[in-house]
Amino acid sequence: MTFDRSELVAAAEVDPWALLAQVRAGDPDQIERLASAFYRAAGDTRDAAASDVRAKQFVQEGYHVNGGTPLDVSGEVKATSATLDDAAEKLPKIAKVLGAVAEDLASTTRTVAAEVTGVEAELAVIENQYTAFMQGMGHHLAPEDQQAARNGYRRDAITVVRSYGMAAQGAVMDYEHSLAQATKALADLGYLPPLGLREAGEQNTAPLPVGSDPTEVAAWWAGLTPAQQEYLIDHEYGILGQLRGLPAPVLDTANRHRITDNLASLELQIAQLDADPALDPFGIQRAALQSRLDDDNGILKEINKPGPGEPPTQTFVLAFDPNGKQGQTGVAISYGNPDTADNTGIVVPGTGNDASKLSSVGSNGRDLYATMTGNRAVVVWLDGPEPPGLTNAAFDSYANDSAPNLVGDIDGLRAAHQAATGDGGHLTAIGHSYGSYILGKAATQGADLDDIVFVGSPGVGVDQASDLGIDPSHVWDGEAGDDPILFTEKRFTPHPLTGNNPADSDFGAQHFDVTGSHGHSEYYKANSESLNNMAGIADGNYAAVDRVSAPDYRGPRELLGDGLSSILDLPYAEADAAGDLLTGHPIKAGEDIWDGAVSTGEDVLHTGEDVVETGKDVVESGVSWLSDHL
Amino acid sequence: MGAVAALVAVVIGVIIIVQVNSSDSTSGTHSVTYLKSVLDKVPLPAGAALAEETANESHGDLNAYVERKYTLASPTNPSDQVRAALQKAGCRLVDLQTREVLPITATDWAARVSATSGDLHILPPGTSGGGVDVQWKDAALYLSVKGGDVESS
Repeated sequence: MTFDRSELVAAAEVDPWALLAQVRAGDPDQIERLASAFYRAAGDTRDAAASDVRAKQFVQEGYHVNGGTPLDVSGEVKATSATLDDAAEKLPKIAKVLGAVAEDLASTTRTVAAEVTGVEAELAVIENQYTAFMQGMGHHLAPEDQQAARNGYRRDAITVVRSYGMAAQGAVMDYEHSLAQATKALADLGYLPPLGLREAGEQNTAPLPVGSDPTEVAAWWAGLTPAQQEYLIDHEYGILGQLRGLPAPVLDTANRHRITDNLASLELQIAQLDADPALDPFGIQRAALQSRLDDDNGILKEINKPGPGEPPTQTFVLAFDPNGKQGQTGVAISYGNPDTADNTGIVVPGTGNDASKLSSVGSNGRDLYATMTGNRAVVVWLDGPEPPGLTNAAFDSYANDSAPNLVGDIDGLRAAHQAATGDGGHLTAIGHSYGSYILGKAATQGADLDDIVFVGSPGVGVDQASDLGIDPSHVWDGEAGDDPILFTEKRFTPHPLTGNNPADSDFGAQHFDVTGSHGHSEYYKANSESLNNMAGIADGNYAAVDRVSAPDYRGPRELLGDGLSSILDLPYAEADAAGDLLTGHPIKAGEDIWDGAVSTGEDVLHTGEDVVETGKDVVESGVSWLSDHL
Repeated sequence: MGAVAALVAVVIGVIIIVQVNSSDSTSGTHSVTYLKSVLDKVPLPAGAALAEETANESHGDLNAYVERKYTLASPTNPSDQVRAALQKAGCRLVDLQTREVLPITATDWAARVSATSGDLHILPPGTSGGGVDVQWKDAALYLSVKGGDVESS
């Protein structure tokens, strides 16, 4: 071989041959014979006979481990039957689950074997091409040119190993997932299969603690043997799912197990409360559990759909926190593998989003994925609390709780990408509305991003793009002229009256065209300027971004400030209004503020082109409302 | 004192936002009722049965969204089944990467999907915009649309 297999595997970061050895350590024949024994113990001779036939087929097809430790089939059945209260009902169910495991294992082995056949065939072609090249014009070339040519063929070989290896890894992960579900189902039925039954290659090892540095986690995982990794996935997935820096397929397998476990636990707790209403006379506990259950079901609904694109890309569950802050379930999913993607977009939504409605914000991520090009991934990030409603959206606490999680998850993405490809990839985060404030806070706390995009922002916690920790030429903003966020556009600036919104020229961001996106919820509108520009940024294709000058919108908040200045003629007029409040004239203060705002607002509305018709309607409705209430 | 005044301003701002939100969030192209009417316009392969519907109104920054999952009567050649239904009704295809709106043709369709799966944005007759996301894999067909994506033309 011109190219050493172990060298190719090391560069590809995945070993299809090792994966095949791993699944071949499991023995479908033996599992099927165990199923047959359980059927027989239940008196079901017909299904037992069918199992025997399938077991023989597995042997004939080569799905049998020669020389493996024989299992004491009748001992297993006898011991299990003795512990079951309702053996007649449970024994055939156990048999059925075992039969499904046997078929899954055989099917996975077939798939992985086909991937290995494929990789070997394509490597042979590359070898032949290289040999022919060297026998032809290649040997006339200078040594450095020969080496360059060899490197090209080597790169092709690595790509082939990675491509087939990832497919094989996906099949093994799918099997692991169904195996975990089957193991749980068996445990629920009262049967704990022997550890060595499924795969002979597991090796006990301890996981790193939750909260470990992502770079350390990535290096630790890469240094484990396949047998150790297998053990951890099977037995320590509760920890693995929370370790940032692990490969996305590992996180996905672990977190799908965790979601399934959490769902089962919640259903059990609800059933217990339903069975004894005295435990929860006012239904408070049940409502809280149901809310969590809705979150888990919302996540499952989205992750079990085909991913976006053709062929459908895989959806990875990167993070799952059933006990997130502010009583919310945290979750982060990725369409496409962010470890190997050249470009990854991170969608950070705002108020009103929660895990139960993951499909809704997921549709933004899907459309971003469909608009981006090339080798890409899109992460939909809800791994931190969001304000549940607009009244909550006036407070900092949700961003304070979410930002550190966003920083940590981005560090995890970087570390995993570095481990898989040798570089950190290109990461772009897009914060919408309150999500832009979370993103701004995360950036000031060290989020390692290449591009930062704000849309529909109420302020991002800093006055200058240069305060976000990256080159301001990579800080972007899009803002629709009729977005009602303009009425609170300075809420999360350092000073809520005079601070800089990202749409202000003084902020120093790059601005992109959002023509055609109206109001507050159309920045991800399919086939829009806005989405197209955000996809261009996420692709790193900056030439494709349609830039505009800073819109410098002047919403009523700024007009309030103008009104105060003109009426009171003081540099900090709001201080006087506050004085009215403190001296017992709160209504007067409100009237002063509003009169000034309306006066100034009318001038600006008549002369300015930047406050659009919708904004005027809203101002008028606000005047009407306040007139009725003040 | 500035902080107190700022608080007053924030409260006024929140009041206005609440007014704005309550006035426009559940109307027009951002209401679930409208989005369902859009999905009703997407022609389905014969025998497709609704298996599940998910919907949420807009709320805060959350956009309105409706998704339906159908089960095809036959898992054979699902891509041809979907194309035949859409093409016959005069639906158009939206290419989000080139931003072109195109008629559905068998040749172009074959270049964009496999025999068993596909994921495309489709405009039903009488509509404009970014389209409904139509996705299928084997016998499962998904239609989804979010607020603002599709307008009546």
